[in-house]
Amino acid sequence: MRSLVHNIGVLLVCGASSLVSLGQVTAERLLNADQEKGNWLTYSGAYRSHRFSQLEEINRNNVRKLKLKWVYQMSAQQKVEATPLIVDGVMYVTQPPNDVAALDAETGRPFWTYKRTLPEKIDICCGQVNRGLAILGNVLYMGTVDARLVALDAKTGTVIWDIEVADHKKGYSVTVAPLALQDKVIIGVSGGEYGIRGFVDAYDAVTGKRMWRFYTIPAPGEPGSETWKGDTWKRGGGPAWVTGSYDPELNLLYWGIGNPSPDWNGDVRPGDNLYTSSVVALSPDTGKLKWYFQFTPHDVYDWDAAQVPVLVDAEYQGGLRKLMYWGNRNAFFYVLDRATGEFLHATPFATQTWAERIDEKGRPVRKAGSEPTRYGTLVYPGNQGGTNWYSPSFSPRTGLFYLSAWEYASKYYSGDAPYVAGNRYFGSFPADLPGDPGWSAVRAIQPGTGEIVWQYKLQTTTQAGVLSTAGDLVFGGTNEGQFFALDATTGAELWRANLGGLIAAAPVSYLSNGKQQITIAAGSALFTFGIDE
Amino acid sequence: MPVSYFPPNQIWQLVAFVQSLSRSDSNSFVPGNPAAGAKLFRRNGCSTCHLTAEGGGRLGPDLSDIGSIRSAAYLRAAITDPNGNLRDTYRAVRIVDSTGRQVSGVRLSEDTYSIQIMDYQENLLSFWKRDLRELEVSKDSPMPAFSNLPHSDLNDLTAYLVSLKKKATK
Repeated sequence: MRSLVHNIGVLLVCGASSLVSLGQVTAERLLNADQEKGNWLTYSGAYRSHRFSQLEEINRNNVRKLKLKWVYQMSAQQKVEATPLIVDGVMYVTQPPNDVAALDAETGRPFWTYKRTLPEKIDICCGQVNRGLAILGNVLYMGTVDARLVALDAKTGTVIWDIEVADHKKGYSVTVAPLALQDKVIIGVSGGEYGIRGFVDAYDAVTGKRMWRFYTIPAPGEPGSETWKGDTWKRGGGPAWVTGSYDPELNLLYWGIGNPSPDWNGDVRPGDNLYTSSVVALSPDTGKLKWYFQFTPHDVYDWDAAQVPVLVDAEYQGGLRKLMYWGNRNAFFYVLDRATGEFLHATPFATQTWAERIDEKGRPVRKAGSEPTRYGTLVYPGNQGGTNWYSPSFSPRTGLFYLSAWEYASKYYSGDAPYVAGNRYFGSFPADLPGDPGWSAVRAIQPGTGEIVWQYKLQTTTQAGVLSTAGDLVFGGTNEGQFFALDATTGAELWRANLGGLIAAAPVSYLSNGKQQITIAAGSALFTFGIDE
Repeated sequence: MPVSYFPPNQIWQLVAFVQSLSRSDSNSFVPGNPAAGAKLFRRNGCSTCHLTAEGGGRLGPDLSDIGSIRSAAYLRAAITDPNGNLRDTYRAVRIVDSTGRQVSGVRLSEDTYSIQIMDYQENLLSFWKRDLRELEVSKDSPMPAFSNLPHSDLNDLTAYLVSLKKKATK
């Protein structure tokens, strides 16, 4: 008998009438989020950031029966990049720029919406977007494009606290989905195109008080400051705009750091420019740096390390290692030891013409003549990279790493870079090739070797992330709104639906009324699919 | 309404004016004692459903910044006649599901096929209507009308609500 169709209702049927289905998202639950296959509790699903669903009801044999269950239309004028959270039957999603909706995960109907009034003028590179929320206890956390962090009551959307992270008039913003862990909320800032001095912050989840700040650009006298000349560190960039990962055993937080400023004129900032275009491993207790690895020293292409660190324990050259997989914007796939930061190997996953090779320490050996010039230099990958912030996925079943890869080039120019606080600080701008916009593919990489096992080619350069599932499927999307399911082992297309709008988010999967659902944002709407009985 | 082509600064001036129409005038005199009103608020159990800076429930509108949003006259009327300006999201709901179990709360949203509520234990619940034996959506608020409050108490309570303003945060 289907008297109550939702998880939250089922809790009540079971006689637990005083059981509050929300408010139970403890730090312990977040630690074990990957065991809650019916929920989606963090940006990437769990702290290891596999973006892998253990649900297998929808699989290679029946995915062709996948049907639309509901659509939620947002009143969004901006690109939807958000990953929703699903907590015990309630779906929470941000609507760009900074509205929030709590939806019934079964019907898509709203429980509440939070509409935020923003300052009249916000100058932000690349759209007033938001990538999602964090939840801890009864509270949702959202960063805002005017560089604030807001705590909302998950039951009503009521603002609990609302604090300034940085001055948005100086080019700072927050677009990242926060990461809640222990008793704190971790965020990073955007603004690498404005000459900010980037940072990663931790805030007390209850009070909103800042607990620590890790500046991604070291000040004079601090380790790494020798990689900056003069006062260039003050406007050195280093944003942190994609959600990191966490290893509770090592008690280390991993966060990707973005480009140095100005993006394309490296002459004004000689040196490696630490910790830009790097991954940093931080103590979540203090924010102290444990180790770092710089993918692109002295980046002159805007190749942010704005990717999700994927944490995997696997055999590597005869021993079980705590590894980190990283498909970087510079077109190389890296394997690092995440306990120490030791470089293990790197292989290109997309066409690249800027590096001869990656040396034994993980440092790229650059090709002569690949630097941006006043007259332009043609380099693969193009400005958006071999990939960008689009979420990758790792399936423990296939052992494969999946990502959206771009095949295209840009002509990189270097120009004057006058700095004015709050203004864009680029140093020229790269140009795409006329008549050659490039293409993309979902690629499956064998992490141990870097071999590309299969690819699913797309006409245009997709901005969608990917999701893999225990049904041995990989879900992805296209700029034109095609949402598809691939065989995780072979890459063969098994199902697709035209959603009619840009897919620039990543899919999630959850259970509603005991049935597996798949959700993706496309255009200005959220679509959920399932299989009828 | 005809289309108007105002320059941006005039559009914002217009918006500010329209917004001001619903707000309390901080300079206007509101009779009553806010401290006494706060005691009445607690004594009458208002915080069971309403949130203020001191905490409270979730079933009714959040009042923690109500003094910045509503005028004294509006708030006074809401105390004596809560159904006068009742929003759709605060209607009382009673549901009997197919097993005979009864659930009561306030309606959050509803369409032809489903209804979403917060029950009186503050759980968010959703139901397919096809699975319900009974569904009653009241035209009224669950909040009682305090129409018999002494005049001075009404003044005090109104003064307290007008005083509820969030501090700007940085």
